Amino acid sequence: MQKINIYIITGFVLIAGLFYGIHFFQSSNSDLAVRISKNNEVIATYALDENRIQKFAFDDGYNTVEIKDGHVQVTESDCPNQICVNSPQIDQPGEVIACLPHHFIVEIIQNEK
Amino acid sequence: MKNNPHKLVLMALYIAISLVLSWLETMIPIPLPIPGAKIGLANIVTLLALLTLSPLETLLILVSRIFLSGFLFGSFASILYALAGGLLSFVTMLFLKKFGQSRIAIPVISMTGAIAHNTGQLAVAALVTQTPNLFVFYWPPLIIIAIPVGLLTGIIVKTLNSYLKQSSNF
Repeated sequence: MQKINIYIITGFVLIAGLFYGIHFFQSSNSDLAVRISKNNEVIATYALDENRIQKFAFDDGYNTVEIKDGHVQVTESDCPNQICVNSPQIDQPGEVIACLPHHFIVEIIQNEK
Repeated sequence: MKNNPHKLVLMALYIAISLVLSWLETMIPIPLPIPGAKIGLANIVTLLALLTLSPLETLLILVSRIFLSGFLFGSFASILYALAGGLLSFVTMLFLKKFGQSRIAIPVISMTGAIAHNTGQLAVAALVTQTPNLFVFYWPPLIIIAIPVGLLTGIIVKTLNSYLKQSSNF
């Protein structure tokens, strides 16, 4: 195998690693909020340190979001692929759980106060 | 392409095979919480077509497969995602094949195509949902997955291609 092949493979591994690194260093835990959007419109914003379970039902289905001890999770949904339900809980700013079939997004954001 | 029944049959075969592969793939559950993570079996056909037919014919096969499998197993949204991924992957693989001067191995072309596919798909998802964080968050794991999976499907293409080269029909 020619060297160029090794370079390309290594290059992509490095790029992915770099992204992980950036993600890691951006982490901080101060004053976070959970932003929930449906069809590109923000429908709710909650503080991350307040426990709650909220069901969002729409014509095309529902998603249940649980905020517990500073972590967020989608616990229930009737979407076909269940990717949102199987997503691990999130707790860092910038982390996202997406339910693309329902166009439903849960994001952790930094409060700008 | 005109008045060439041999090529026409070949293209019809490629589309049929890639449709079956797309269907097979919907039956294989991926235990990963990442939208868009899949094996990309249909890419075997796209790359094989790129190696044995002209770019235009490959593009026709690719677009036909995306629309047909979208109508059969998917939705409007899934066609949109598949088109973005498929076209970006096609352009990338064509570029590597043309300007790699055959120094770039077939598995590496396939791997880069898989990465391009995920990138295009994720970019559209980020655009549609207007959530740029989706890209930052899911891109690295999608690449990490695309590297081994893309190499694997590439090895399949390489093996198939060497068999096809021995046949007088290609």
